[in-house]
Amino acid sequence: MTTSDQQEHELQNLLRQQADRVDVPGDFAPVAIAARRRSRRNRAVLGSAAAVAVIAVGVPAVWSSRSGPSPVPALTTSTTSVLSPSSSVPTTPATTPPTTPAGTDSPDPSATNPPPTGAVATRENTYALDDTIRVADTALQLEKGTVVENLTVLANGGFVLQSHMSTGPSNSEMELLSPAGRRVTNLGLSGTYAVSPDGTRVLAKSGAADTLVVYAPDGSVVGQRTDAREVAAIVGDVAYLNGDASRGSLEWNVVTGATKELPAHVVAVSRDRTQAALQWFVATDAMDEICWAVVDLTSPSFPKTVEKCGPDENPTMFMPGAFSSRGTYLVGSHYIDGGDWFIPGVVRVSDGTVELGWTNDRAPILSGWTWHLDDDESTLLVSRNTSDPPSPARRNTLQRCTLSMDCTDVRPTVNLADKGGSTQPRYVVPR
Amino acid sequence: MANTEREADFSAYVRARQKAFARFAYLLTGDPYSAEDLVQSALAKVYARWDHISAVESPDAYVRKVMVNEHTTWWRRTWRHRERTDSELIRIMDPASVDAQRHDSDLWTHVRSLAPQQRAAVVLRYYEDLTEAQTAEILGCSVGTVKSHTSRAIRSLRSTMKEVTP
Repeated sequence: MTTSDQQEHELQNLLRQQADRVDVPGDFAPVAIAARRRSRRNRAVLGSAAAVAVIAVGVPAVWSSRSGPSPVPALTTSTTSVLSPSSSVPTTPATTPPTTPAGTDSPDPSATNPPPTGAVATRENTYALDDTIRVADTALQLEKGTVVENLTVLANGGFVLQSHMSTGPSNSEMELLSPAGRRVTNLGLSGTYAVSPDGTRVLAKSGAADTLVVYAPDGSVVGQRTDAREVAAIVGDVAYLNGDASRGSLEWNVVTGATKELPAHVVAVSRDRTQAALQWFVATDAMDEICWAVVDLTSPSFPKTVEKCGPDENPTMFMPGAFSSRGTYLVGSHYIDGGDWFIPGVVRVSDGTVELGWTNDRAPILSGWTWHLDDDESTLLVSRNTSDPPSPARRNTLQRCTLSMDCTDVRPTVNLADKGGSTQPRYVVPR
Repeated sequence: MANTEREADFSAYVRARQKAFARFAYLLTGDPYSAEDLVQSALAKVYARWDHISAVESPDAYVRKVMVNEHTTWWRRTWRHRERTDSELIRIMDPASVDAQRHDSDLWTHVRSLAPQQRAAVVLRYYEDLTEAQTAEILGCSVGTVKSHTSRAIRSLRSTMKEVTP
């Protein structure tokens, strides 16, 4: 054996010895699936759902399949007054009304009942903390152990809730809830949804089938369609389905059934339905090139009015999620795969100027999990990661921030627990 | 493939192969925290294209390619290194003997100091036993570049190896 061969052999032995020291006591599968689900919600589907500009990033949870089966994270509700509006301690339910069975497709007579205190949920007075939904000074108690992933307030004061249990499989469940927090209907497992700007329509697709269903807040089915495309947005009775380059996206009038082909990769539509935001990955193996664009829906050729594509034009990988209330901005997130927290971004629709977000590695960032841009288009309500340094994330505060990152506490800071090497936020901002 | 079916299929594949991926990631990154992050991040991307990848003959090669590219990309993103500080999915066991630890320590330190592309070339050639052509395919470069990477790496390791080789 030559010296060179001996050295290569020596190197080979070293690498094998080092590799042999590696053990994997955990399970990467649910972690990877959850990470992908976060990204998917983030980049296209859920972010574009809300009435106004909003991003509800999925919960970067790590679930362990070792935990065994768990109950469906269905909502049963009870209510109690929160002792203090700024209380960060979940309250104990005073009563436990009977559970409504899952999968109810007919309208629930109680679907319009407000919480006992009479408070009606709005985006402004609602947030989730742990396994409660807080509406003004009222806490709606979810099933113990529910982990809220995202939440949207409906026109009737009800909610769309996506959640899973803190133990058990990683499947998240979408539910339509009454204003009192009672389950009206189950929208499916591992799915995606969008809510119309006026909060009167919910477009949902279960992860188990290629069926898109449009619901009214009382749980009644307004329309449904079999389609492999994904949920993008719904404005009034017009649903928008996100399709890839081979299929293209689709506009679907739920009432008339009329459809219209749209450009691929639609992720958000403005309230006046004149503009759509597109977002797509350039197919590199690292998948680190992200493009976004705005197209004019009023022109038959759907011309792009702004396009930021690839590492030169979109170096921090901004991904639009929704238009702001007046259509001035796109609100979204910067792509951070595998991250325990996210970076909100707000860009100007007209030219793509970054108003808030990550611009380079040395710039200060707002780190958080869920956020929405208020109707005034100047302040952001954010479930913020207030840890310093930001990783590992150990502190979570509900804050309101200006686009210049001046922030004030809306609710007190709470501590986060490590969950299998990852962390989950405790506050969730409605979309 | 429906989501539930895709999840089950992907999960079965990952559970069968995750130790191999974790070891590969550890050799690429040199620490368990980054290795866990790399595996997680790569598998999330693999899952995104699972319908396509599961149909190819060798998903492992694709996964390795994603991991190599991902790791190289990290070097362009400093925020990436702020992400994780702990690892529960990967555990590094103590070496078999103290002598072995001392013997290999310098060389391992040197391997970890190689540039990402060089280290990837070394790991693919000498740990994964891939040919130069296969290594070139994963690194997305020519065979000549692979030869150059590995010879430079061996050359830079040579002084250290002389000291530890009896």
